[in-house]
Amino acid sequence: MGLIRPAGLALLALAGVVLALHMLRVQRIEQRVPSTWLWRRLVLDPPASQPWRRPPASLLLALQLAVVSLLALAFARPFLFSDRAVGESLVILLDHSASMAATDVEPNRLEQARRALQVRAEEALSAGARVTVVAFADETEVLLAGSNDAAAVRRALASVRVRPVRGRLNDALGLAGALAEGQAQASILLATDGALDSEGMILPDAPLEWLPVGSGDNNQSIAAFTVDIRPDGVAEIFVRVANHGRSTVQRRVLIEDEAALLDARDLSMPLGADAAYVIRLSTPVQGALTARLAGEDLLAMDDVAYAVPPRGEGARIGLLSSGNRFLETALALLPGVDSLTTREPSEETPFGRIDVIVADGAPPAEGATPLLLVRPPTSMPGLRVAGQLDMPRPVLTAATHPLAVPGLAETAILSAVALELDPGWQTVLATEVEGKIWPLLAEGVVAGRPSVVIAFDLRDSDLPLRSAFPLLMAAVLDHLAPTTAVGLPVAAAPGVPLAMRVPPRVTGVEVQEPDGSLGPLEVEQGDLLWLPQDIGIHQLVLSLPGGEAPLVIPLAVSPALGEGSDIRVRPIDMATVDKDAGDGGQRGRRELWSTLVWVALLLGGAEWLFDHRGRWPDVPTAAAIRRRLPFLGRRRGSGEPSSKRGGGRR
Amino acid sequence: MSVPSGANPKQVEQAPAVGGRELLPPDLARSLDRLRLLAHRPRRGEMQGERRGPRKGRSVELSDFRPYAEGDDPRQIDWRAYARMERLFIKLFVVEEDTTLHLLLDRSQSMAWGAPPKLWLAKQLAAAMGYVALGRQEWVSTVSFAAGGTGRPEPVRGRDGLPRLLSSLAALGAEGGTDSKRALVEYAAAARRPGPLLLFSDLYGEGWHAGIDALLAAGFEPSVIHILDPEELRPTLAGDLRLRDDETGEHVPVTIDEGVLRTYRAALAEWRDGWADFCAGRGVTFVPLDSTLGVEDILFGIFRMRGLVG
Repeated sequence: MGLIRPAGLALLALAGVVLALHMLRVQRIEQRVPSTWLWRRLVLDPPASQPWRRPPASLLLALQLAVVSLLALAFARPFLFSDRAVGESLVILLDHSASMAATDVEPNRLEQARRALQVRAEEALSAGARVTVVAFADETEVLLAGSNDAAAVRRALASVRVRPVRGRLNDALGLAGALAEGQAQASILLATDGALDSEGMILPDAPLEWLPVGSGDNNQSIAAFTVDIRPDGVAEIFVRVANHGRSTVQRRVLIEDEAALLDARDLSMPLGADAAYVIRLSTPVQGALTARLAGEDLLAMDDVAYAVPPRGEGARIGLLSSGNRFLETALALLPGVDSLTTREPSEETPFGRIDVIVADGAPPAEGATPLLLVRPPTSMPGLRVAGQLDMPRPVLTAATHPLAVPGLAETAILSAVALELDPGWQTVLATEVEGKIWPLLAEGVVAGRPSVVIAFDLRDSDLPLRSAFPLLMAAVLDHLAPTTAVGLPVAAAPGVPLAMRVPPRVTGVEVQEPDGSLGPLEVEQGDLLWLPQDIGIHQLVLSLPGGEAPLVIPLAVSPALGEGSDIRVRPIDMATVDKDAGDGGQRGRRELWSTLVWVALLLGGAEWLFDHRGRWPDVPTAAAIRRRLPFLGRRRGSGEPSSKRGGGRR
Repeated sequence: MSVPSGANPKQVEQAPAVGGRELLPPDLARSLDRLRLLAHRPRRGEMQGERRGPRKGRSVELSDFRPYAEGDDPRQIDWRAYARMERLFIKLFVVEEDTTLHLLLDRSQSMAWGAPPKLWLAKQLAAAMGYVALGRQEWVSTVSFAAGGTGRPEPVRGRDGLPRLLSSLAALGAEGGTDSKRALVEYAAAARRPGPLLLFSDLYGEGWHAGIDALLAAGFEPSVIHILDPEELRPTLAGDLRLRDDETGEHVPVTIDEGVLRTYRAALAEWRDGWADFCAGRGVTFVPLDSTLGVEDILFGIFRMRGLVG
């Protein structure tokens, strides 16, 4: 046992003060008595009248001395040596991958690891070390760097939550090694169950100690769960269940959609075996599907998976043209285009269900379908053809507009129609003739239909030969048919970023989490990067202008643990463990001050109770305090009888 | 109101009407009629009363015989003895004479202490004993004393003196300190008819023993009624105190804890034992009392046991 701050023992002098307070006869209260004749005989005993007296053998004094002594000792920060080596710096690595949620220990592996690390961190802090807290799963994050604040360490450890991913140890060890490097006598403490990806692990130079957690292995997982809709409308559901335990188990798999239970079957799986099957449903699937393993195992996280039927998206484009190979080729090659139907302007056959109509030098058909007008031949509601422009020089008028694709301004144009647009149109590309601006590319509304107009015939320009052309076509399609252009998969794994280009018409994107909470997503320059974290069905809500109903895109986020569902505790290869600890490290310390303070508080409470109960009601506590501390003021007349009659009583 | 046989209903009813109703309630007065004052030895009186006197004479109670001498009254010759022994003897009778009951009350300031005050109990007991004595046609002399001086004795006799007795007792108030020796010695010197004497006091201070010896020397038959309040008998004081003497104003610093209280109680017991020994050695009756005791309990219990009344 030792003392970190021996000078703190100087507070033991307070015990002398307490003793002196008990020995000193304080200011006395005048008390009337019928006669002092008998009392004078007692006062012949010298201690009764002298200012100092022998310390009374009272429990109160003993308790007060004990409290003061304990507090003084706590202030000196006594400690006990522990057998563990602690350097000047301790890097804590806490695994919070999915396997750490296993409940083979109470309450789970992560919590047990957290408690063990807390103790070790306090020991290190007691020894004067600085503590760094690093949490790792699929990614490694430094939660606290080089702190000597026990509360901060505690908060950092408490902030760690299990992530539904498989852990990767290599990155974490690399970071820990880098953190330990350059610090004298640094050591690394790794708390993990070893059920993680340790391939290619390079042990750091610093001493590494492994704090193993967990012991069980009974776990089954839904390894794969997909749903596909065949062209004939039949839904094909594929399920694969894996047994990671050491014994043969039988689990029941439940498949349900948002409306009802679709399938339930029992699977018997020997050690390490998978069981897979396909369900074909001719009835329509209602929304997202859930696959669930009934019963319990040590890791509940991977007992459930979600799937969303593939969306039949892809723009259906109708091309009204007398023949334009550039347009046909460009539109057909666009990744978001599902079908391209071409009609001659003279044909009366309607397009049917079409997402975008491209009118190439022809008047568009009636309807509400968005329009791409290429060199409109006549005036229409919202725009008027006022003449012809020869050799217009294009200039970008809205450089940040999504339609202002790179290279567009370098387009050489032979001729174009002169268009007069109603207010509300956004001109992207224009030319100036005699001080007047004439639009060459603009977006607006024609007869209530979202429209993009190109004022020149593509064949009268070199635009189809430029790289800007397919970009422009894609941007136009995104603008006019946003609901078909979202390049988002139907399934994802937590922690895996998803990127998508938000159509220009989309005014905002929100995500509804599985728990129902709705939060906005940030869109930067039309790009959305989203990192789903929680398991379950997410809903991306894309807001559209003009009161249009928002577009809701479901997305299934399932735990993709893979081998991470194998929660068997695997030993970490500790080739370099403690190689320097015996020489350079110092023995760990376990501080006792908090225990002493608690004991002092308990004794203080006992002292208060004793004082309170021992004197009440004869001497109220407040009166006792005033008597002992006369400078606080004494109630005038205190202790005086209120009347002659019975004045001697108290 | 029912009156015990032998009591004078008129006098019983009169007693409270003279300012002493509280001192001597009618119910108590009626019960007191059953009592009589007991004297340990005969006293010489001036008038024939109901008590035996030291002188032999005509009476109904035969005291002794002595040989006939010339000049003796032949009517006192015991002829029966002559018949048996052929010698003349004279029958001697105890002369029943009146006796004076002396009531001495300490009215120092300390006697005002307690609930009820000690002086109140002393006055009640004095009134009761006076009533008993007056009912037997005895003289009663009441005197109170304090440091300021001793009051003038006011002897009364018979039931007619009861109003005066009660008035004088009711008028007594506590004040000042105590000069017990001087008071008792002066009273012993001044009293003309020594007799039973009841001294009511808390006995604080010095000089009591000398005073009582003076009373004894003067022929009194004193009884000491020592009255203390429960707070004096079993004090509940605690802590660091500065005790102020209610009589003298003197201060005594004292730290009172359980040990000190134990010491106090031991000193009190020793003090009272000392008084008991002192009184026993002189044939003086010592009656320690708690001021909260009831008057009837004292009179019919303690006083009877101590032989003060019968």
